[in-house]
Amino acid sequence: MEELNNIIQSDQEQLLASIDDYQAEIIKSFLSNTSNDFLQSADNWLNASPANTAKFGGEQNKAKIYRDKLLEELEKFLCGDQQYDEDRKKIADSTDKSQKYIIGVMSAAIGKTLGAAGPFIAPVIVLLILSIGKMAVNAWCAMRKDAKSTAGNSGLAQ
Amino acid sequence: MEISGLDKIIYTVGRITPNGVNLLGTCFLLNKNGLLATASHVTNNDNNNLVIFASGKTDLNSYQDTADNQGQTIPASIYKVDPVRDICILKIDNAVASNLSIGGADDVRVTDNVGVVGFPHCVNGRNILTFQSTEVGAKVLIESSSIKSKHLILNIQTRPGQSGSPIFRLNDSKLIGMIIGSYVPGGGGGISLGGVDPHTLHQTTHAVSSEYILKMI
Repeated sequence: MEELNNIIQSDQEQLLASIDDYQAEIIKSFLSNTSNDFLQSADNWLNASPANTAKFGGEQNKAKIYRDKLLEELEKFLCGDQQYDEDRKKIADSTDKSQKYIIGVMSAAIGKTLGAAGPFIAPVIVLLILSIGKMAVNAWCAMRKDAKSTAGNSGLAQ
Repeated sequence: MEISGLDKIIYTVGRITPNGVNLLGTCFLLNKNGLLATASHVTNNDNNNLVIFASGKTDLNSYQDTADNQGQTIPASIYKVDPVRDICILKIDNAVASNLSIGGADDVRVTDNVGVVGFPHCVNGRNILTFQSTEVGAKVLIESSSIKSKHLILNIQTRPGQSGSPIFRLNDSKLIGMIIGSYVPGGGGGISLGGVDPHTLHQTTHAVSSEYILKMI
């Protein structure tokens, strides 16, 4: 799918421009603090919480969202899993081909699967896409598939 | 500070469950149509079945009935999230707005008097809008994922349900912050006695500067 290939080929500035300015500012700070480590920066976003502060609201024991789980869902989205057929069609049919729109659709769809809001997921989607490193979608999907089958044969977890 | 009308801008956030509405914390109407602010941990960044709960019976000038737990639910969705500062902006499909003047921690000095308005104990189902007054005890930087942000220490004990409560400068009702919890080494959660973490029973409340809300709307 051309739109998904294009989004993976986008450079860092373009992708960061697809999220809100306040989010991009935080992500740039994470990247600066981690020497451009996209995955560590994704973890920093997902695990962010003001230090030494007891929370006075929300639900206890709510499941945490892990980066690996998000990556699995991103793989399903990019690599043609039927779970996201309608969302990919939405992107293909739209006249809006901007990175902002595509990241928005991906974040909303993946967030829905994981029980998280799209605006919370979007910066992590951007960082995970950056971690792919401008590889063609098909090549990345094949690489992920190979990695899984190798892990399966050896009995090693990824 | 004028308290009339605060019941029209401060509500509880809840989630609809098979057993009814679970109240999660406090939120308040911003000065842009349909937008409300709360703490991101109140919503857990999860849109599912999220609602604003409005009883219409929380006027601070009246006697609020503690036995009356009826109210209206308004579907809400997460519009913006900043997990570093623990801020969530909610959106409802309704063109309502407040006339809040939004400032930040820079607009108050240590010793200034402030008002906190929210729903203490709403997580236990108690939907009573409550006003507290206190003073700013300190201005601090609190770190989250290596980013330090401006916070206020309020010299008052707060309780679960008050996350998301607005803090007003008493002399002119300017919004200067929002409650996010209280100081506990490591964030707490280790000990619970009858559902209460004894580490939270003190007068060191953490509030994030509302200047970060301004950046999100």
